[in-house]
Amino acid sequence: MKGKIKNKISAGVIITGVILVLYTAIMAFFIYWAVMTSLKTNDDFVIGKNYLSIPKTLDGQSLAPWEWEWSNFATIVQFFDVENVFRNGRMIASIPFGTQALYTVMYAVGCAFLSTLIPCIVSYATSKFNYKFNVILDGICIVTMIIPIVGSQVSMISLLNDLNLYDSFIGLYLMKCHYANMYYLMFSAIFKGVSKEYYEAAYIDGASEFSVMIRVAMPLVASSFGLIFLMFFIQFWNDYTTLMLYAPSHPTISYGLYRVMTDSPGGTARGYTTVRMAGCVIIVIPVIAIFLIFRNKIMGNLTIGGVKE
Amino acid sequence: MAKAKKRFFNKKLLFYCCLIAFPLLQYIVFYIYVNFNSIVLAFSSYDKVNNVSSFAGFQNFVDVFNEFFNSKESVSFGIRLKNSLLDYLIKTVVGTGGALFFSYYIYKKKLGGGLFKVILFLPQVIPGIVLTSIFRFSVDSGIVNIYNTLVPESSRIVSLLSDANTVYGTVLFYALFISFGTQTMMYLGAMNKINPSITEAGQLDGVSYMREFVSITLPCIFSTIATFLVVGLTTIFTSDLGLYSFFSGNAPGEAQTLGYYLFRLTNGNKTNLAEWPFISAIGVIFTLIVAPITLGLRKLMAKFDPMN
Repeated sequence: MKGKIKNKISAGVIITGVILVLYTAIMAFFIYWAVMTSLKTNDDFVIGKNYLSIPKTLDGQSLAPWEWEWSNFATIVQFFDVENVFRNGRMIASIPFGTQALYTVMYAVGCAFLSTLIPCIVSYATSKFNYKFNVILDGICIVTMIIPIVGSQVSMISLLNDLNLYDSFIGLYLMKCHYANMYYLMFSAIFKGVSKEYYEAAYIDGASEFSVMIRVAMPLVASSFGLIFLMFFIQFWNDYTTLMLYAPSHPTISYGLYRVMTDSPGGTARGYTTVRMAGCVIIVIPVIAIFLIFRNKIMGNLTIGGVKE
Repeated sequence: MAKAKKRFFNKKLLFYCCLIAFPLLQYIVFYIYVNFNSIVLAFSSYDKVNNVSSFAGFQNFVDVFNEFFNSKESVSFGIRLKNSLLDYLIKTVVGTGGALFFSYYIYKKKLGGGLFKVILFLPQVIPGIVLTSIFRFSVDSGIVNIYNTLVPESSRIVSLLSDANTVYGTVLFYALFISFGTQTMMYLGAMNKINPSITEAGQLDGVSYMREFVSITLPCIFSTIATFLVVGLTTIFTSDLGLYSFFSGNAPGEAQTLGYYLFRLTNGNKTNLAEWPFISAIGVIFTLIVAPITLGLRKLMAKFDPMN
């Protein structure tokens, strides 16, 4: 009887394993397909109907890697240009790929840093100093996380307009200086675990409150800070809808790719699947590289209760 | 001595105030004021000619109900509501169920667990616009074309994403496919926190994996599952299934969701002040529906938590 049950159990594990293998195969197919398609000529793909295999000539001969259509990457960069953008009532002719890359760095790095720093600082304050107001700050965080609010985007646009911050990076940065989120709770859990003796020793050495925070507390959360910064960085690197709503004349490369993928002026390279896939490959390389380097940290520390130190 | 102590205390208080002042001000302006202003907008109307706002009572709410229930749009609203509810249901049943099994498989350190963990998490790392593009083109320019070369001409299909009968199923499959990562990692994190002595005791009693999963693992991580179910409720009104990345503002009516509708409306009218009250009224109505349900479900889940 026991043996029978064990067989069933094994079947359950095997079925889950098979589904995971299938999932992996589909994911691998998507990546392979995107990379291979990005290296084909449009004729090879459309006329030669070469949908699956490596790049070929029209008479079906496989090409060596150095003969693949690497120029698709140069072509797509030109088609990233976002045209007819209005800023402060004036039309800007075009925002090229290079400028978009700069905006991407400004948006992803700036917002990721502030989104990490603000919860970190507030959690340090509420963990280190024992004031009654801490209860209110904790309560605000919990309530904000629990109560879902839908459709306040137009109100945010209205506020940014009133503050003259609409369509600016300062406006975006201020929006992201939000402390009431799960990372506040994560940092709080870490700071509450720090021994008071560290702080006392620094006070005895004559350190000011600011020095204690910067030189004693912050190094203790540096790895968690870096991890949360990375998670935010990936999130903001990939985000294009926030900029579309709140800073439309500052397109990032994700926004540029969105334009390439959804605008289809006939007869231009934007319409070619091969060139479009080259755009996808360009954007995905940096985040995949970051993820693969830090994958164990990122995935190993993801829990709802807090970041494990 | 007492004076020095008092001064030190004041310095501490001053430093504390410096640390929390800006985040608190930001919260008041960018959260409390924004949401309050959203309610104010929902009760106002905007006169484009004279550039003034005035109190409109419940007119915007009446307009929203008329749009949803008494106009040509009512059919579309019905489809969007059905699609959004189906999306939540499928993601809850298949998405959560799948993520639980996947995380348990990895937790038990079965063959390939480390690789599957990375693969499952990849969709959270790859930009949504890239994933939708690869999916869209590989399905329509790849899989459909390969299928068409294998079947007779009469059985050929043009596109899964432009056919009214297949578009919703296709985007739902995509949304489900990319949804496992975060849940799997969170459940795995929760499973790794289970005291090993509990599972070891079960193993000594000869319990099967399934029995261990149902009787030990699920109760131990119930609060994490409950959190996902509660948070997921909001997605009924916010999830767009990636439609904006697939189709921009031109998604076929058969595939649209409430989240897509609201985002498209907002993005299309970001400079049209006259539409803001109507959009805000939709937001207020959706919030009034989802907030109490969320809080109720949260309480219910806490009641049924076997660890309480």
